[in-house]
Amino acid sequence: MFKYIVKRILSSIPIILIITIIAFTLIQLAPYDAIDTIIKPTMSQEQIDALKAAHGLDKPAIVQYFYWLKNVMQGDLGNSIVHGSNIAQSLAERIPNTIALVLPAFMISFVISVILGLLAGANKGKRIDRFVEGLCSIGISIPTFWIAILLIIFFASTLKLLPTNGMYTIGGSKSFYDFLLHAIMPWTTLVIGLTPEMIKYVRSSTIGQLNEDYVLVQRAYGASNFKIISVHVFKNVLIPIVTIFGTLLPMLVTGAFVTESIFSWPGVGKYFLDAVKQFDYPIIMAVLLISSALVIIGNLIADILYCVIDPRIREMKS
Amino acid sequence: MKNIIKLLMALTLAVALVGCGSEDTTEKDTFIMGIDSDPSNVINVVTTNDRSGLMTVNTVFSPLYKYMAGGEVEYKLADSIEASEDGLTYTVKLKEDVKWHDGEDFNADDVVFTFTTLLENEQSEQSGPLQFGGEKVEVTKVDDYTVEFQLKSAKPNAMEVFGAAFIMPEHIYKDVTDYATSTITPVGTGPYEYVEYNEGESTVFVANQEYFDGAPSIENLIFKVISNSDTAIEAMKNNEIDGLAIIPEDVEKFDDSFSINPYSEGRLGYMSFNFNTPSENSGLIKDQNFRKAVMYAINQEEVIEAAYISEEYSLNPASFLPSTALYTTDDVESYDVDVDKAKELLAETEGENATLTLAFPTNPANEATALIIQSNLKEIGITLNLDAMDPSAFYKSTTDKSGEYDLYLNGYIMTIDPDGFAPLFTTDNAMNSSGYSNKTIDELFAAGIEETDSEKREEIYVELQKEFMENAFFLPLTENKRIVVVGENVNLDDAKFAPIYTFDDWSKVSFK
Repeated sequence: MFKYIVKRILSSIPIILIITIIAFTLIQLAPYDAIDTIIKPTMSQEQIDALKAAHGLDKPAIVQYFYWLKNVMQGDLGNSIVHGSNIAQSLAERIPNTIALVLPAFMISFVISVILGLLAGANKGKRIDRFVEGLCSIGISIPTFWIAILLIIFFASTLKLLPTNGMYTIGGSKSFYDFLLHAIMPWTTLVIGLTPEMIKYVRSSTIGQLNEDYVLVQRAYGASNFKIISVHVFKNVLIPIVTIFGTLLPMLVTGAFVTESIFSWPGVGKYFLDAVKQFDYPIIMAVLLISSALVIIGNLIADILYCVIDPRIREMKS
Repeated sequence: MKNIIKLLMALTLAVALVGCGSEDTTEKDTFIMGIDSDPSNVINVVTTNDRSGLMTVNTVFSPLYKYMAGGEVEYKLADSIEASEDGLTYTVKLKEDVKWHDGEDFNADDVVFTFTTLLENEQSEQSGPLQFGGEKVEVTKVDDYTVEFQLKSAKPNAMEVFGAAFIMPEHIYKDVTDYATSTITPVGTGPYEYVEYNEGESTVFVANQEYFDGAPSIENLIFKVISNSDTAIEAMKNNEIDGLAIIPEDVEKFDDSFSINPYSEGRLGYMSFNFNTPSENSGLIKDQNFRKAVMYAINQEEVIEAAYISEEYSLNPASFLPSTALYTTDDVESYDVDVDKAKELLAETEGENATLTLAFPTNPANEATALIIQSNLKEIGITLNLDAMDPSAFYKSTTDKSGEYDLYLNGYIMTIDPDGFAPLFTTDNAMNSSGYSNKTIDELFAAGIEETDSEKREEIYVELQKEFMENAFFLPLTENKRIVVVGENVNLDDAKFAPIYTFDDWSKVSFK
């Protein structure tokens, strides 16, 4: 097992390198750079040239890339070109905020989707299935930004129950209760965004499992429908869910651009979006590096979890 | 659907139960200003250049004085500034007993240190104007509270240039060389002290009780980042924040319990001809009659209505100088819409049924403007193709002259002194994005900066504006205002609005 993990990690290094090279190339292809976004008419050409030189933007792309790579190897993600602030420091403050937003929302939608998905799958074609399916279709087709604005108008503006934005009341004490009040609407938005797709996974997987022989055997033994679903089918349905868990890890860092923007949640998504707009390439590269590493780690963890959950896979691998 | 409603109701109830008892009754001592971008934690007077960052700088630091619209001087750290007869020496008397936020005394050394850094540091945003076209100003300390600025030749815009610099303390910044990444907590002499920065959330200030112009009446000031404008408006309507800048379309979303304050930042939006265009229209664009025909066809009032709702939120400028600049005049060829005249002029050119391209950095106001111009030009038989460009790509094309368009929309906020506009319009200047070259205009700008008598200067600049507009290469379209909303409990009687910074001095804002 240990050998397998080491092998997987080593083989992912070239993939990450290739991802960074592609990202860097794409940034370089743009006809302008970060300095062009901050030029003002009062600046002289010499000033602009000096600014570009200070950030190495006057050098050939390949030199810039290796310079960046060298710094990253030394653990230095660099500074924002536009603001000058330290990227590692900014991310260290923002990543926990994004996790606090995405993780609970994911947990909630996990629970909801397993329950509704099993219910719908077990009652395929019946009323409850059609109802859940309907909910999913609505959920998938409604854009999250619209839901977010509706929530704000209803709960914050009309009912005045919740604050419109932010993570804590500014200037107040940073209590857990205060955090909860601020988090309810973003969480709800994310749950509405995440759940429908997960329900569909669980539902179709449940339908598939119900046709398996072991279900027939259990039926023959006279096991109740509830027992079959909750004990036997449930375990097997978890396998595709684990795949989703693998994709969750990168989502913890970059998963909620829209929600973060609308609710002014001080997370990574907003930071990344601004950087993309301003071509602040050190930030773009840093976030891409972290999220691509997490994609790989997430898949690795998912693979390991398969082995834990499913003895068949365990045997296949050894 | 019914179940969704039930679910929502259940949720509401749950929230209502938790929400009880969170009302606070304490007296309001915090002003929260909504800002749309994160100022970051790199704040200093040398490199900070974005609006949020400059708002922060203006809150924490003070300049010697502020040179306000129309040339009025408002003294801050200086008690007086006097120019010698020949206009070469400016003597500044500093206020005594001013203290930095950390309690140290402010004196002439700090002023000399600041100007030296602004001039010598490579990263300095301000060094340009202080170089005075290669004739660098020299700043020397006369005694602890007197500073002298020495120029090589008289420059009438010197007052404005000296007043633009915020003064920083030598004892804090003396070892800093890399200002662009320095996260030193800013220490200034301004109305509020910098308390903390919360990544992506807010910057928090507390009143400077020792402020030389009287302690602020509001104890705490917070700049809160809300980047989504819909959310920001809801937050404002909910009184979660006390102040916000909005666009004209959003004004109607606020009822009478809010006060709406439009003010000019001296930002002029314009349409210009591109003399560098590589298209087959380059000959036409050099034809003054053709340019005039285009300009007479454009209905500026329609443009203002489409882009900024009404003239309440945008002036209709006649000259290239905005209303905030010195010597602005309306006594120029104003190109009020006149379709018949446009057609007549057009008939004298090769440009009938021409097809032109208009480029602009994409934003709602520019898009609305472009569509109006397109339909205006259609009336005189000119087809206009629109090219909405990514703003950064557009600015890049104006600086390196690579734009493949015949006309473009853009805007600027420049200086109060008209000389600040010279780089935009003088021959072969890197900032002259239209590529237009006119000897008379060059000469008048050169004469304006050398003349020290203000009446003679006014004559020069009025003549310049006439000549400028007569040549019809640039059409001023809008002078849009920034609109600041505050709650009805906010008292702005003593506060002055200022370009970029929102308020000239935050200490003058109070609650009723």
